Amino acid sequence: MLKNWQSSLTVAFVALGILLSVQFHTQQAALKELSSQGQEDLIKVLTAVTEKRNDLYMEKTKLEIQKSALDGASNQEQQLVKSMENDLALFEAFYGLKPLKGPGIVITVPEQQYLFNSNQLVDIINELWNIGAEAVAVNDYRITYYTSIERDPETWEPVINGTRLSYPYVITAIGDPQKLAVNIKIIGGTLQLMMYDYKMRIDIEQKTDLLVPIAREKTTFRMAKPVLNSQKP
Amino acid sequence: MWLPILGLILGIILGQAQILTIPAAYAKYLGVAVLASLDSVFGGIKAVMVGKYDSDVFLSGFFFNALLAFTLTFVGDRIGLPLYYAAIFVFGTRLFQNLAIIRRTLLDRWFPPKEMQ
Repeated sequence: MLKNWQSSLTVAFVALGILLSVQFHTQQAALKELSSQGQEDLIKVLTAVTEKRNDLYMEKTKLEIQKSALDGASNQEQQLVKSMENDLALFEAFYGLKPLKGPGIVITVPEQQYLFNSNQLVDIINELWNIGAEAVAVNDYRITYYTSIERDPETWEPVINGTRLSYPYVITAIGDPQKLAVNIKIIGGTLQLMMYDYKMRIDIEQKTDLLVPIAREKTTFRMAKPVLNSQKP
Repeated sequence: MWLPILGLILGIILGQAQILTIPAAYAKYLGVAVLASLDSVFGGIKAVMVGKYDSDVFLSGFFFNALLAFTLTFVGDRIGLPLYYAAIFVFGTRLFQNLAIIRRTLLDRWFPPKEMQ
């Protein structure tokens, strides 16, 4: 049998143990709270927090400067890429690597007629370039710097890039339709001569939406190499 | 005496398990209550040693003193008077007195005083 004092003292000790333990935890939590800390501790905490805040503010400023520098570089890069893309598109259009569309005129020689041959075709094309045509095609053959136009030795019919054309000959030119339609019939010009002197039937139509296909020949440089600015003598 | 010591260990373990949590703002009140409990416990030990132990008096004193100390501190804070000083003074003084009596009793028991010639 337990003695009377042992049981009651044990109960009190259990309660005391719980109180001690709980107080320990409570005190640890209280120490972490700012409201329970002394003035000196709070000053230390405040100083440390202020220093940390200043450091973070400087870090933020530094990062903002870096970001703006990177943004500037990125913008310059984007502008450069855009400019290069524009240049590339221009070169591709010039060399017939991309189809082109726009307003312009269509000159049609509908049937076999006396004296129409490759020389007249070349004259008409050259006159179109001279009066402001930006892209020209003949029977879906894009005319570029490298297009060859010859005549068939027997029939004198036009031969483009080695392929003899057949009627009707359709010359498509993209440019200002009004200007092209008027100027191509200038007195003394090839078409004026053909239409009024030789009485050939040639149709000229203004169109708002024409398509000039890509060139069929490929432009390659075997011997020629571009001269860079830094290599100029 | 081993059983109360086991009880103390059990109590500490239970407290570590955080079966009871007190808001941090009450840390001071609980601290004074712990002091009152310590005083009661040492008072109980002293009473056992001198043969005047009464479990009713002990247990009621243990809980009542702890509650009184807690309440005094709480009320003192509310009225702007540090009443817990009174509790600390009273229980602290009694704690030392009880410890002194326990010490002397143990010394007498382990080293019986020699009879005066």
